[in-house]
Amino acid sequence: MKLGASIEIQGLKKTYGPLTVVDRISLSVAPGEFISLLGSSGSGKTTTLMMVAGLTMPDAGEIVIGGREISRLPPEKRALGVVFQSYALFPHYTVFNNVAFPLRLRKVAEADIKRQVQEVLDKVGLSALGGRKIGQLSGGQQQRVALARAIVFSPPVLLMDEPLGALDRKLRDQLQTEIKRIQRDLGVTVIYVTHDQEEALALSDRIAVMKDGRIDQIGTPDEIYEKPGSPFIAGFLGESNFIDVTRGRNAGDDAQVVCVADLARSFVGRLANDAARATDLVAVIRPEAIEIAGDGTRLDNQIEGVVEQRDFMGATIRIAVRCSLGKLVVRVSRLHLATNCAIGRPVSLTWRSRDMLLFPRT
Amino acid sequence: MPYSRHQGLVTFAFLAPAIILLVAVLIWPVLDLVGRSFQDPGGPFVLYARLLEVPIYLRVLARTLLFSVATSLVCLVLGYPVAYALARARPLARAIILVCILLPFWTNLLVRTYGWILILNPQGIVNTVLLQLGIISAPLDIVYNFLGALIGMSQIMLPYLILPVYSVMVKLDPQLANAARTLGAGPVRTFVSIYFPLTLPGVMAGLLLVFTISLGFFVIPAILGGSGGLLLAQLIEFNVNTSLNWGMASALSTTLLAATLLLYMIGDRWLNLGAIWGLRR
Repeated sequence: MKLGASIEIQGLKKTYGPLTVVDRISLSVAPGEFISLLGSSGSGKTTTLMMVAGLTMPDAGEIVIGGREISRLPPEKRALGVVFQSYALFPHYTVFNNVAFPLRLRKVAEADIKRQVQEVLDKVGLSALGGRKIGQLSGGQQQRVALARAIVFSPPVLLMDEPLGALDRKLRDQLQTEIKRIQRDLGVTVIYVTHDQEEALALSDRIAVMKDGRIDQIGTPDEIYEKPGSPFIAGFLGESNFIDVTRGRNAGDDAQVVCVADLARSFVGRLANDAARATDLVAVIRPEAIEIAGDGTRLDNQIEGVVEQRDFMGATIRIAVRCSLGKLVVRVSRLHLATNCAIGRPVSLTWRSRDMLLFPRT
Repeated sequence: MPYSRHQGLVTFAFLAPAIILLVAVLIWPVLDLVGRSFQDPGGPFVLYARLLEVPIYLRVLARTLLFSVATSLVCLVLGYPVAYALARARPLARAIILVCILLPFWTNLLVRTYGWILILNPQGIVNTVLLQLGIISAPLDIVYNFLGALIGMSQIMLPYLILPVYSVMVKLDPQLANAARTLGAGPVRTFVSIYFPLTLPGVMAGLLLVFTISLGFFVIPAILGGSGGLLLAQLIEFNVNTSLNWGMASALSTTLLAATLLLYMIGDRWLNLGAIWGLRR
C-alpha cells in the first residue's frame, strides 16, 4: 500500500518582528517523493517544516496536502508524522506506549494496537524492546522509536527535523539507509530538514537549498552538485575552488568564454545562465575535476604550481597547490595518483573547460 | 598529601560555629521538648492518651489538617498557571514575574497580614466594591474566620508551590507537547496525558512544602482566623502562654513535628523530592 500524498506550498511567509525568517517560499512535492531542505542554521528550513507541521503559524501562504488546504488547521487535525530533533519521546511511557499513543487517540481497538505497534517495531528493528522505558534506550534506539511513533498511524507525509543530528557518524550512515528503506516501503512523502550536505545528497530525490529564508536552488542531488546555481551552493555542497576572473572573447560555443585571471593567463570556461552579460566573473572548479598532468595529459586549461599540503582522506587524497592564482585544491583517487606529489614538488594542473563554471561576481 | 589529610578537619572547622549554634538553639531544645511530653507525673503516655480522649484536641487536629489541605489546593490552582507562564516567558518577562512572586517575601509578615484585614473587613475594599456594584446585598464574611485565614495563608504560601513546579517545567523539552499535538492529541488531551504527568514531581514537592509549613503556621491564622476556628499552632500557644500546661504543649508540638517529619520522609522516599530541591540527582 502506497500512502504518500502530494504537498503544494505557495508563498509561505513567517516573520518574527523585523526579521523575515521564511520569505514567500513555494515548493511542490510529488507523492512518495523524498525532499530535503538543506541549509545552515538561520536559513529558515526548520521554520518551514514547523509551519507544515502546524506548530508555527505562517503569516501568509498556503499549504495543500493531498488536495486539502491545511495551513490554518491545528497540528492534531493535520495527521502528519513528525520526527523531532530531540526525538520528544514521552519519558513516562514505555516504548510500546509511546508508539501506541497516536493509535489510542484514534480509538483503535486494543488488539489491533498491539498488532500494529509490534509490526512497526519490527520494521525499525526494535521488536524486543517494547517494554523498555525511554531512559533505558541508546540514542540510536530512541531515534528508531521516534520514527516508529511517527509512522504507526500511516500518515501520508513524514516531516523530519534533523533526525540524525545527535548521533555519531557510523550510526547515522546506518540509520540513513534504514530511513530510506522504510520510506520506499511505505511510499510516504518525506520532507527532511538537515544542515548535513552528505546526508541530503545520499537520501533525497530532490534537494532544496535554503538561504536567508528562500529556496536558492532546487533539483536532484546530481543536478545541484554538477550545476550549482551560484558560487554559494558550489561552496555549500561539497568543496570548490573559487577564482576571480575577467571576461574575454567568446570561444566557439556561445557559452564558452575565455577568461583572464591575470595579465599572463587565460582559461576557457562555461558561463552559468545568469552570467550572460557580466564582465567580472568568479570561476568555480570542483577539486575532483582537476587532474595532475602526468605523462602528457593535457586538458583545456593548465597551470603550474607547487604542492603545499597533502591530506590523506582514505579513498582520496586532497592536495593543495600554490600557484599564481592562489591556492587550488585538488582531490585525486588514491589509486590514480601517478605522479610523485610530495610537499614542495612542482606539479602541473589541468582541467576541462566544461568543469570551470563562470558566475557573475557579486 | 598533607593537604587532603587535613581537608576534612578544615571543612569541619568552617562548619563548627554553625553546628554549635544549631545544636544549642535548635536540636537540644527540640529534644528537651520531646522529652517533656513523656514526663507527666501520671506516666509517660498520659498526655498522648488525653490528646486522643479529649474531643477538642482531635477536632483542632482535624481542622488543622483541613486548613493545610485547603491551603495547598488553593496554591496549586493559583500557582500552577503562574509557574507555567513563568517557564514559558522570555527572560525579561520572567524576571518581572519572579520579582512579583518574591515581592511579598520582602514585606513584613505583620504588615501583610493586617493589610488583608483592611482589604477583607466588612467596610474594606472588596466588600465596598461588591456592594456598590450591586453584586452582593450584605457584606461578605471573609475575615476572622476559616476563609480569611485561608486567603492570607494562600498568598504567603504561593511561592513555595510556584518555584518547585517551575523548576520542573523549565527542564521539560517543549517539543514533548508539540509531539503529542502532531500525533493527534488536542490541547486538553496533551495537558492531561503528557504535560501534567511530567510536572507531577514538582507539583508533589510544592504541595508537600505548602502542606507541612501550613500545619504549624501561627501568625496568619491567629490574626485572620478569628476566635472560632482554633488551629494546632494556636492551641500550642494557648497551652504555653495562657493555661501554662507545658506538658500538653510539648505533646502537641511533638505530634506536629512527627507529622512533618513523616511527610518529609514520604516525599523523599517515594516522590524523590530531594532531587527536585537539588539535594541529589
